[in-house]
Amino acid sequence: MSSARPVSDQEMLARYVLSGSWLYKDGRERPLKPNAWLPHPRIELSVFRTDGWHESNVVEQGERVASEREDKHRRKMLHEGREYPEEKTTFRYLGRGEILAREVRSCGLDVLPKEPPPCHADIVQWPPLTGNRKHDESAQMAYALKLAACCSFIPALP
Amino acid sequence: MTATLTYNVRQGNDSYLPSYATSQDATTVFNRLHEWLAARDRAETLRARSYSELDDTFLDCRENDWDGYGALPVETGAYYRARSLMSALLDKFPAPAVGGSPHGSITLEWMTGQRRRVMISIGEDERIAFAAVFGEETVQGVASLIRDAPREITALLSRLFYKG
Repeated sequence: MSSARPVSDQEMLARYVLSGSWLYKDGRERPLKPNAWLPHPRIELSVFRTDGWHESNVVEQGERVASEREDKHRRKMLHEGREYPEEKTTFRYLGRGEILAREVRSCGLDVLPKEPPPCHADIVQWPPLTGNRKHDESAQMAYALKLAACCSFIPALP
Repeated sequence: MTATLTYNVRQGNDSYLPSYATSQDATTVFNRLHEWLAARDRAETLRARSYSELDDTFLDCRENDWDGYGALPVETGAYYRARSLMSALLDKFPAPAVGGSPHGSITLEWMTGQRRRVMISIGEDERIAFAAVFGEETVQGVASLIRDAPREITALLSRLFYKG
């Protein structure tokens, strides 16, 4: 249980994008796919509470998340004896999906603080797992489509 | 004088017998045929883009944790199933956006508006998870892919593109 303050309806939440597979490639105005809002393997979805942050802090946090994932991935690859050249990068901060907590709640989900790290939260109340993987996935996709409809995307600066 | 034009659809090759036709009708037929061939080539290009997106998605998502959040890898079987189903659906519907699901599946998604979307997820087995939103209405379920595109999926896509 986190001791952080509850998430208010007006708070902005950021879902950091580390994989280009989450972005449409046809140049559309809102390029974030609903895939970015699918929870797995946990049935909570990781977001950051960025209200009141300066833009540079939001970006820094995204770059920190990407860097942690990249380090972990690099270690794993090398541990498995696979090549991973120094200049190679699998995960980089590509931007973020932004959504208001109010919108999340209007979709039938909720947001709860989940620290550490500071200002981290989880989108919760996804349909409980039934043991039938496909049924669970279809239920999660229905929510992901609704979240995608009310989020925006802020790309990383080139 | 009449123009003689042949086109062998089955073999997919375009062949014209020499024609010396000069009538207005012959010119019209000649122009129409060229327009049709150009349109067909454009259509093939659109298909090629979808297959290329599918290939890229598979290459991007075939490692464990490809999204940085613990996603399962997309398996080869899922790729082939998705390719087969996409081919069948492209005969009837516009090209989808292709993506990877953290469950280790390939997703195909169509949208005509922010709140009018259909998404399906194809994994290694014959069951396909689907979900759709039509305004405030949500549809979800699982269909079986035995040979043809599942009726549930084509019904949703027909509703998305051809019905209000």
